Amino acid sequence: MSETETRLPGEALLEAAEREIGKGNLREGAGLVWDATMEALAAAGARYGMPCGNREEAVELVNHLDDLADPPAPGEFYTYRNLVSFSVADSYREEHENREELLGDPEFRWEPDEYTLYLDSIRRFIKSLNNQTTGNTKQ
Amino acid sequence: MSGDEHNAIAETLVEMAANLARTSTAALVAGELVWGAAIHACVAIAHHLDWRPQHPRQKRELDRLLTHAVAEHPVRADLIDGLNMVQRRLHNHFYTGQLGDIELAQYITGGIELVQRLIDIASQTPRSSGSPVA
Repeated sequence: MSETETRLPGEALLEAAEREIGKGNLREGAGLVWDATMEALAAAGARYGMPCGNREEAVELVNHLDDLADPPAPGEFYTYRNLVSFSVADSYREEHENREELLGDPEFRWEPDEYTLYLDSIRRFIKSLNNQTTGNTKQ
Repeated sequence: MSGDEHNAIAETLVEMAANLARTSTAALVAGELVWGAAIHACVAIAHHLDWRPQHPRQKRELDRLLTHAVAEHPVRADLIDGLNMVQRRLHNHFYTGQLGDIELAQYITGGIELVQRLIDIASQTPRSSGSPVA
């Protein structure tokens, strides 16, 4: 990438997350995924004058974005599309903040490959948020 | 139990969940029923593909099943995201009560939409053909 190319909110952090997860630094990578999502959410929130400094504010903003969203397109089936995507990011936050606790829980803990399983979904969510930030509705 | 029977149970569970979700005090149970319904619908898909999950209640095994069963990438990703949501939000909430009322109701809606899509896929999956569906 050239130095003049503009990076949209969350993109650089998500790339850093992918690098850390690729190196096996799962907890750090998961935290960067959450940070990337929050950065993109904060930029989208600024468009509506809504703060996004913590999880609670992020949920409020995500609800607002879902309220504004069009009904599900053909082939899509989630009414709260942004909330479903946010839930995935929230799982990365849990893996970062509660990893030791989750490691002791065979039902909920993620195997290493699960840290990469959802990265494409996060990438699509961040792209969607940035489209909303710039007013570009094309996905 | 056959795949069709698992699918019928999933349909019954989401119907019960939709009714229970109308009362805030029963919504916690509704969320757990959605998790159970999602598992039954996934097992129905597995039966129709003649796939025998060793641990059908483990989400990562269901992820593998959906990856195998659903060919179209965006739909597959939505299903896997939804399965994560149902387990991490609704199933976990049953034990921890971590969600507020509004967030819980929205996740139940999303979970029911997921299960209905899984039921459709199970119904459309040719018996034991192994053919991925869109």
